[in-house]
Amino acid sequence: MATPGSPLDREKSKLAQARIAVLQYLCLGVFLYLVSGFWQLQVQSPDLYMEQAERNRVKWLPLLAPRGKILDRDGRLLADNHSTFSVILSRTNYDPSHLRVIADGLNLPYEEIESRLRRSRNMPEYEALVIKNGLTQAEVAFVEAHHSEFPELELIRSQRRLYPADGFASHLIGYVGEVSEAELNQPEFAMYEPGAVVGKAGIERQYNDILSGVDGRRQVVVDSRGKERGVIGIKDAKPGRSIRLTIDLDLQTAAELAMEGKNGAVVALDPRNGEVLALVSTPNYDPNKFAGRIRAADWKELISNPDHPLLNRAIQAQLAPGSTFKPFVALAGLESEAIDENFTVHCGGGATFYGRYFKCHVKSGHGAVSLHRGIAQSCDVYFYNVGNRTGIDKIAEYAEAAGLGRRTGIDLPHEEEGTMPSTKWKLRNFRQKWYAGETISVAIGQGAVTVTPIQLAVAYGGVLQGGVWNKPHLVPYDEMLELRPAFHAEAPRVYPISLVNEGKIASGLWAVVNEGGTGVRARIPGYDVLGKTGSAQVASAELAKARKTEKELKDNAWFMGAVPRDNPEIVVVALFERGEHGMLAAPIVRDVLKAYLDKKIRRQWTERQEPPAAPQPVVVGAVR
Amino acid sequence: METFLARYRNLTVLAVAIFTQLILLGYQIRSDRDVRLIRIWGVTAITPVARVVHGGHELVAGLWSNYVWLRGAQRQNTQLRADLDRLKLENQSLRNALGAADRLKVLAAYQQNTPSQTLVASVIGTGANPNSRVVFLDKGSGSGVQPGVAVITPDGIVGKVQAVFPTSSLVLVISDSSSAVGVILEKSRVHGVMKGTGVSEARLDYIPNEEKVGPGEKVYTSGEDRIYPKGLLAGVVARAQPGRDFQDITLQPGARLNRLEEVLVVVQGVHQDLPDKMPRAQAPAVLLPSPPPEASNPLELAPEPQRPAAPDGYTPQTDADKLKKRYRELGAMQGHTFGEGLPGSKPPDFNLGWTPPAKRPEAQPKP
Repeated sequence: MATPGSPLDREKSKLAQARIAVLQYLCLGVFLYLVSGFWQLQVQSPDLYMEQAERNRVKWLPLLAPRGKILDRDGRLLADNHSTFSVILSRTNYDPSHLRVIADGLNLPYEEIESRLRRSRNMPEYEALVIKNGLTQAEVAFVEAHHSEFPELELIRSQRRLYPADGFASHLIGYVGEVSEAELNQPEFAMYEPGAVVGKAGIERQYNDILSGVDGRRQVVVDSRGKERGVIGIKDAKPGRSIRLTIDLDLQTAAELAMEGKNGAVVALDPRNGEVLALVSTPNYDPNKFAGRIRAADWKELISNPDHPLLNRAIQAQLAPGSTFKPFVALAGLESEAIDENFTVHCGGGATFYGRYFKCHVKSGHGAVSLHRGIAQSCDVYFYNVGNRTGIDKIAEYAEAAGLGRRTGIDLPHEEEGTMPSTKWKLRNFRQKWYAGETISVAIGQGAVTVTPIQLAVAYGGVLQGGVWNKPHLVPYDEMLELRPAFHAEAPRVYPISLVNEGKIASGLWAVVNEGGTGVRARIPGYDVLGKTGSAQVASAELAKARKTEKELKDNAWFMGAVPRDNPEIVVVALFERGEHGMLAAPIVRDVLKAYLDKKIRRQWTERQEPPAAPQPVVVGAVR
Repeated sequence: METFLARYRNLTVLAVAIFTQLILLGYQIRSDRDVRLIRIWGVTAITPVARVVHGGHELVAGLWSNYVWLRGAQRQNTQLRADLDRLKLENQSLRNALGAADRLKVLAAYQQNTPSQTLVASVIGTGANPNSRVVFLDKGSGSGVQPGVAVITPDGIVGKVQAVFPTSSLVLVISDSSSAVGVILEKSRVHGVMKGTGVSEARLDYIPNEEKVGPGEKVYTSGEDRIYPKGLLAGVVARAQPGRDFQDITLQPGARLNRLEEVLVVVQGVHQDLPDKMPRAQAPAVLLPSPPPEASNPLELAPEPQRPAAPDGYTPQTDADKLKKRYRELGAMQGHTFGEGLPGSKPPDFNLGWTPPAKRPEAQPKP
């Protein structure tokens, strides 16, 4: 045992003191650590923590505004809303480690939630982010059942767009979808936040500003478990305004049914004012699939479909008009006095122009052909001669006056313009001279000339109105004035056409349907239906002959029909892709015209309360 | 230093305790765990004690009821009476044992028949918070229990595991006001969400007013909440009445939530089919005449004939859908194929069956 004061004792004492010193410093360190924590909490940034605590207590919940309805001219519903749920993510208290499970439960790609959060960085943090609209029943159950685990998720009531089933009028109405990143950078969508639902196509896109409402919001108090305990304030949502269209649902329905199983388009309009009565494009797509969020598989199927269902053929298909172009060639010939009513040609099944033989669609020929018979029988040889006499520039002048080869200005997005060739056009686009031989093909609606169905409908309507072309539109002008007080209706375009010449053309069109012409399938007993068939080649005759059975090489079928003969109230154009012959498109137009005429009878009964007088057929050849 | 510590021992102990608490608090915050450490340790420490107390209580209660009380009675009664009482006691004891064995047998049978992989657990306590309905089970992470899994009994679902400790777990019962379960109605197969109300009955949300729901109809889990496997009994409809947006439906949970003893923890859930629908009701003997048709727009086509409701329930439609259906019917009635027709063929008559509105009496000229 060491005696006190010995070196061993001193050593032990030093060691003990050192241990105590270490303990003291350790205590001091811990104390300073805690003091620094308290300092940070209580002195340095108490406001920050106070604000965070307050945010946990108070929540802003959006009130989504319902979109306006889309109605037909009689107020019948084309697009409505139905009650559904959206889920929002509170950005003030979300836990990044929850996102993968949330994405899985909501059937969303994880990357998408991440990208949404990234995009919403510029939004005020208290504003919750809509991460999915139109939840399914399963997704609602998932959110509700995991409320205690994921308090950052909140269900809110919203309205989901309801469109007619089976793609009815899908190209006309369009669809809605969540605003994309690219769109957010456009001034048109600048006022929207990520996750907002906007119009993407058709009327939904064109009149998005009218149909969209203004979202409101609710400020609520929540408890520590995220449960709502009271409401501090409400800013009501402002619903979007409904739009009444010029579309007549009866005609639209007849056209939709007539186009079932076919590829093509139908446009029906009132040439007296430009109101579009029906607009169909097939194949179509189901816009309801876009109403929430389109599934990747559905989208892939749509864009990889060789028939291009997203293409609105009524305003975007730029195709050779075939024989439906002939009346415009005749008009140019008559107006420029290259031909007169008595101009007659002998058709022996073909003719040679500039060293090349051009065939007629009737191999045996039509014999002696006048203007009236030329239109009725759609004789190619007759129109080769008329075209050759008139020249490409005169043809182009009258075709362009009628609106062919230029956008009609219809109130739908992404309209195409087609092509009306001329010497200037060829020089401008190809820096080449126009050869007279090219005019021969253009004279029968082949060659470089391409039109859209809406152009053809407008062009015929204007000619049959004596040279007055009204801009086609889908919202009535009186409705537009209510929706946009600064709106000015566009005056009709006028190009002087001799009424005598117009009457000669109309007479030929009447004969097409009623005098054993090519369009007899469009005949409606008791009514003077005008018509014109068109069969436009999509491949050279040689190639078509070699592969005659292949569907893709069949001719496109066109038909134009109008009624009544004098001052027509309705013009209908049908495009039946690969329909082979224009006569097969005629029954499509007949169904639409019949729906119009039958409805007119119902209207007259209702208005006059007496049966309408039976229409009297006009005497053949009579002109106004 | 020692003298200092010895002199202020109480103060030192207090300071050390406070420091320890603060350090643990700091660690808790920085480690960002969902469950408080103190709670984990507390529950881990208390669970064996609770189990011992529970067992002890059973033992003492058993001793008291089975022996002490009888011994007192033996002193006051005849030998015969004593024998009878003892036999009665034995009988009772055997019955209790049989009851427990039956319960476990039912549980074992259910466990064998259910496709999900389950684990038998006993309820060892209930939560102290009056606002929440929770129970503690005697199985924890050591037995393979994970947070978020379902807890069931043969009578119906019980709840979901909210937190897991090494030897026990905490279950949020379906009657808790923050509980929700994705469910499906037995007859109409309409989906909805069952929500706890904090009392013994639950609520069924999101069932459209158009759906026919009546008391006694069973409600099964739909599996859509991703917690409870599909096809388990959730409850029975007690009351149903039309509400503002959806029906107000009250459910009686299937499981006896206030008398839980043994439960099954679904370690690995497997969805199963719903039991077959109830047999169809017999055709009524007497029917009221059909109501008169409502006045319609004179421009509208002839009204379509009355049809039975769609078997898949309510489907929202636009006017376009209805009109298309009507036009299709008109075409079919006339043998007309839309968009087709030979030369000379008769065009369709879309006014077929349409009757003009009755002529109004002419206005009398004013004198």
